[in-house]
Order: sequence, then C-alpha cells, then structure tokens
Amino acid sequence: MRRLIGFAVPVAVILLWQLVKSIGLLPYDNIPAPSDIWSSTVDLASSGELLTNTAHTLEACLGGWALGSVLGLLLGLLLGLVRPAWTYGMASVEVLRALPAISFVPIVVILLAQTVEMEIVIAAWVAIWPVAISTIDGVRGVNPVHQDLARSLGLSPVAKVVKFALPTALPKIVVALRLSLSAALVLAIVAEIVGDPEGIGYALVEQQQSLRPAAMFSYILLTGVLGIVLNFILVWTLRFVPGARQAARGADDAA
Amino acid sequence: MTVEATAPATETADAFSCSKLFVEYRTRNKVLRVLEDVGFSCAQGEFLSILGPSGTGKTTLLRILAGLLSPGEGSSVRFRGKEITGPPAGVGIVFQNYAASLLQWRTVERNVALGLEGRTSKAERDERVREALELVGLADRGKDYPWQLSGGMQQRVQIARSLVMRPEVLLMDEPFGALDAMTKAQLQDELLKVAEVTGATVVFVTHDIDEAVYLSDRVLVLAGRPATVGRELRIDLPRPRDQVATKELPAYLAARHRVYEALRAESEAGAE
Repeated sequence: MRRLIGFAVPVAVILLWQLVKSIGLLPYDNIPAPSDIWSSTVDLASSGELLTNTAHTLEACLGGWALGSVLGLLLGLLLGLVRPAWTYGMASVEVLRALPAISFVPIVVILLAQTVEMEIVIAAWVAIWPVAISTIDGVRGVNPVHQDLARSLGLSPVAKVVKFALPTALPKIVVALRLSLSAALVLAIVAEIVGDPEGIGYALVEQQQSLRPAAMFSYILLTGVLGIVLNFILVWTLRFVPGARQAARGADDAA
Repeated sequence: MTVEATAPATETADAFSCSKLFVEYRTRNKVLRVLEDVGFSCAQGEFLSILGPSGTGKTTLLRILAGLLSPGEGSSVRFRGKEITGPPAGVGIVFQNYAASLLQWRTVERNVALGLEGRTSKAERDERVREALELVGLADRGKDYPWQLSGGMQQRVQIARSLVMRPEVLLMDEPFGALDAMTKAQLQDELLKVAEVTGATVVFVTHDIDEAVYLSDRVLVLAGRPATVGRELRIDLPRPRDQVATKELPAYLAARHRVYEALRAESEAGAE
C-alpha cells in the first residue's frame, strides 16, 4: 500500500505538467506535453524502431556487463588472493578506475570503429572496476576464525577460495553487479551518442537533429524503464543463487 | 612374570606434550612475552582443562596445540610424539565464537560436512554427518540455517563439525562461555557423553572454575605475566558425573576449593 502511495507523486507531477503545458504557462516550445510524448512513443513502438534500438543497446549493455563482470571477478580474485599481484597491481587498479570511463570512448572508437564491439568494450571497461574492487574486498575479508577453521581442516587453497572466500565476498559482489549494470547501460548509450550510429543513444541524437523533442523524451523514458527492468531481473535472478538472496535483499534496503 | 609398562612407552601414548614452550608477540616497539616455560603433557583419552583468568594466553596455548600458531624458537610441542609444524590430522577445534565460526550461508548439515567434502563418498559423508548430528542431539535440524538455531544449538553444530572428522583430540576454546547457565550445564553433560562415546581426548580452555572441576580429569592453572603452568591438579571424581550428585560430593567441593586456592595463589604471585 505504501509503495502504491509513492506512485501518486509522479502521477501528480505528470498531470501538473500536462496542465501547465495545455494552458500555455510553459514558455519552452521544445518541452512537449506528456500527451505528445505518449503519442510519439506509440508511433515509435508501432514502427518497430523502438524495439530495434532497444535490442541494440541491450546487446551492448548486457554483453559489456557480462564481459566486464567476468573480467572483474577474475581480476579481483587474482589481486585479492595472490599477494604479489596485490603488491604490484593495486596501484595500477586505483589509477585505472579513477579515470572516467567516458574519456576512453573516443579512443575506443578509433580502435574498433563504429561497431557494437566498440560499445561492448566500453561498457565492459566500466563494469570491471566495481566488481573487481568488491571481489578484492570480499575475499580479503574472510574472518580470522574461518581462516583458522580452514587451516585446521587442512583445506586446499582452491577449497579455501570456493568454500570461504567466494561466499564471504558474494554479498559485496552482488551489490557491485548491480552498480556495474547501471553503469554499463549509461556507457553503452554514451558510446552510441558519440560513436556507433545505432541504438537508443544514436536515436536520441537523431531525434534531436530532426527537432522532435517528444520522440527524445520517449527515448529518455525508455532508458529509465530499461534501467529499472534490468535491475529487477537481476535481483529476481539472484534469488535462485544460494547465499545471494539475502545479499540482494540487503542491497535493496540499502539503496 | 608380568611385564610392566615402562616410562618411555607411556610417554609416546601422550596426546600432547610440551616443554620449554614460550610465545612472544612483537609489537612496534617492544616484544611482549605471553607464555613462558610452559610444560605439561596430556594423556590420550584424558579430559584436561586449562584454567586461567582472561588474557593469560589460554587461547594462544590452544592455537599452538592446534598447529595454528608457532611457538618461540626452542619450544617443544608434540602431538603423539611428533613435533607440531602445522595443524595435525586428528585434531578438531571448537571455537568460542560459534556465530563467527559457522558458515552462515550453509545449512547445519553442510556446515558439519565441511571437512569431509571431496574426501569421502557422498553416501559416507551423509552417514557421518547424520551420526555426528545425532550425537549432539540435532538430528532433526540438519536443513536449518545457523541463524535459525539458538546459541547452544549453534555451538552443538560446531562440536558436530569437529566430531564428523572422528578426531582423536578435541581442542575447545571456552566453548560454553557465551551461553546461559542452563544451556551451559546441558552442553557440559553432552560433551562428557560425547567424550565417553568417542574416547576422544579433550583439551578444554575455560575461566570457569566449576566448569573445569566438573568436566576434567586434570586442571592446569595458567597464571602470571608472562603466564606459565602454576599448578596442576588431578580431579578424582567418579564418572559418569552428574550436575547435582557430583556437585554435592565432598570431594567435588574439596577439588573446587583446591583449584580456587591455586588460582588465587597464582594470581597473587603474578601480581607481585
């Protein structure tokens, strides 16, 4: 019930927006009325353009996110568990993750041209760091009693990672996966605005250049919906991963 | 003609023996000696308590016996006659903090199975887990998660996790320290039963005098700074022991008295 009440606010804002626009109080012609946005969305959806662009952006975002997450996990395990790797590698990681991912877009466009691979690489780059950092933190955070226990049971290094380090790190990794998913979506769209002439990002530019603000708002709304849906699917999927369920719920409460 | 057991033969039958054991912790600007010239042995099948005030290094001593911590250069610590260089096989450990020790993401069964995974067939593992849980009275809680159990039950899971490995020795670090009096008494009796059924040697660290006297065959009093074994007291009380009957025996009260005096004498000596 509380959640439903929460929806009253955006509904009221939309109604107010529509009202202000209809009675001509809003001086900007390029801000469309909600009704215009709705009809343009219906048009874009029925022409199939919306779906094609969404599919393209999703491919880039999810591809990059998956790639980045796997690489981040491996990097995190390496740095978190192998002492020399941590000693020699951590400074580089701190430098690389401090560089804004967006600043890499132009160089990746030169390297890989205007392709979906270019988008994937950029989305992957931004997805790597949260997952890597959380994995490092997590696997290094095995509590001292567990460390004693693992040694006293004579567990192999691999067993220690699988039975202690990874489960300990899992809640942090889950949070990181959610962060990197939203970041990957943002970067995929940026890559489309700057480089690859396809997908939602390019559609935004295209509509801007043809002075169709209502269609631009359609795409803006679409990105918001995509973000929510992707997060929901991820959280829902995690319910089936043992140990991640509480982590997913905990992250929800924290958010 | 009878053949009498000679002294060396009984020596090798010791579960643990240490001599000249010392431990130092290096801090930034000084060396802190925690244990000094600790020497004792623990026979197989014996229930030995290590008693001492908080902060005397009881846990440190237990971690050395568990092979988790190396003592100072020149110390001798042996398990079944062999110098300890790492965690020896056949030694199980039960930690004080059960919540930190159990794997919260695993069910009770899978917590208990931890040390067997990949080492036995699944059928044998299941059977041994079931046996161990039965021994600690948790046969019906295998599918629960640790956080669904009371503190006493969680500590039983930890005991079962050690028992499943069929240890010759159980090292226990103030295992009942965090439990309420009734649960504590119940678990003490269960531990005595387990020790009897399995024949395991138990080295039990505690700061509770009554607990040490009630459970043990022998009590070592650890005291001083750095700590050493001040007194060694044999507790000759009949077994099986009983929370009411045993504690009413004059011999129990006498033993309790002796241990109390020893502890007081040692801490006074340490304070000087």
